[in-house]
Amino acid sequence: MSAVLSMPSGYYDALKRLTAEVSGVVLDDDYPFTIETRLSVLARLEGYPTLVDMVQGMFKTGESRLAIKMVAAMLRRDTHFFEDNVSLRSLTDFLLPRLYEVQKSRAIKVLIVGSNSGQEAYSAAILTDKLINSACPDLNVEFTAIDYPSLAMDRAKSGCYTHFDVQRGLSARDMLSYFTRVGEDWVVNETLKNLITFRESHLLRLSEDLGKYHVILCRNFISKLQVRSQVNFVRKISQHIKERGYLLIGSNEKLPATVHPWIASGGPDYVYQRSKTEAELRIEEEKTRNERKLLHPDPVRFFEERNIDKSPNKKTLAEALNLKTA
Amino acid sequence: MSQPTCLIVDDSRMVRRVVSRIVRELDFASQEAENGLDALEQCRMNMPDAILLDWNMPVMDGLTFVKHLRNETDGQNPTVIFCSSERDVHKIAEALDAGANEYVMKPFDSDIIHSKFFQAGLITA
Repeated sequence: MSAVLSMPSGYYDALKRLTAEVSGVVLDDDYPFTIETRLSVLARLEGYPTLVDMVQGMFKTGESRLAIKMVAAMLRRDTHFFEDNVSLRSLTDFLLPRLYEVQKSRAIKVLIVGSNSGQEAYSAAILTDKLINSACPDLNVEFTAIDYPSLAMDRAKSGCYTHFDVQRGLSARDMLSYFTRVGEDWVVNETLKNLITFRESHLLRLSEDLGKYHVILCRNFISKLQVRSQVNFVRKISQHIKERGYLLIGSNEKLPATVHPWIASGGPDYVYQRSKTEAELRIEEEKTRNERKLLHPDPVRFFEERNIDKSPNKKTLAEALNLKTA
Repeated sequence: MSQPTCLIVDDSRMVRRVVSRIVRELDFASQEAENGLDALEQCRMNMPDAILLDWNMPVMDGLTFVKHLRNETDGQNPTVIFCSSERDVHKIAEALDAGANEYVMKPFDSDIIHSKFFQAGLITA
């Protein structure tokens, strides 16, 4: 592999560390190849002569927006329409009909975390449009889809896909109903576009003004995070859910075993419902913390046993770049 | 359970060969026909589970074939997937209305065939 790599090996390790610190995701073993292919494209688009120039420039200037774009490019995965359809269908087979009974024509707000190049959001919108036309004529759903600023996010916003993209996961009938052919590409119709707002966001540091939602779709995202980030994320995402709202994860995922406000919803295993209030959660956390103190009365020993470095002077790459970390 | 079969109908031998390899990877036994009439005769002898069908062919084109097929005994059973370089939306709609289950625009790759077989319920993963 070294023959195709254009940077000193330390650069790849630094970028892997940066990705883990910013996004909580540890890149696979073939990360030098991922970095080389994904970031070479980005370097060209950002106007750098070579990949090395971009990486050196980013570490030298600490330009955080470029750093986020680089991390997002490394996280990008190939996706297709109706991916993990088993879990996606529970949105319109179970969640929206249940919420519709209460909300009627009032807006049901749905947040999609990690929207990538948009196929998941548009698939959810297609299912919702079919539900509106078949059973719930005045159903009113507002999707907000968030991800890091990236080329994938730009594509999601444009709703423009190649003829290869629209043939992966999408039926020919849906392609004809919801897309318009423009030259060689296929563009999502306004009916679907109007249902979704794409918004750039750090996924582990969600801003307060993101608001609260009836449903959060967070499919095949949590399981890719490091355990520590999983625990933090599951707690934090609960601050953006309305009372008794729902969390939908991937059909092969499970939430980490920790203190969080999510309980089984009574529907499929991968649909959770918010039960505990913030106050109840704080009381439970305090109780767990006290139990831990009893088990490990000596804090120094507690950290030593777990081989945790808590040196206050240790600065992470992300901190050096003034980036918010996992 | 016997191995499912897929009939590949295309006047290009090269396309038939490439598509045969893809469907064999999906655990289908492949049969080949070079036009719609040849395909119809093969279907009358042995109805396949799936048919991958080109549009423009000599002797009998894909659209005429699918219309005939759907009127045959057991002709409703096969899943018919058009594979054509025709990308006009009206043509695609015409193919679906004539009885095709799915439509693939050329050029395609194995992922797309895999995806269409999955959507049509021919494979489970």
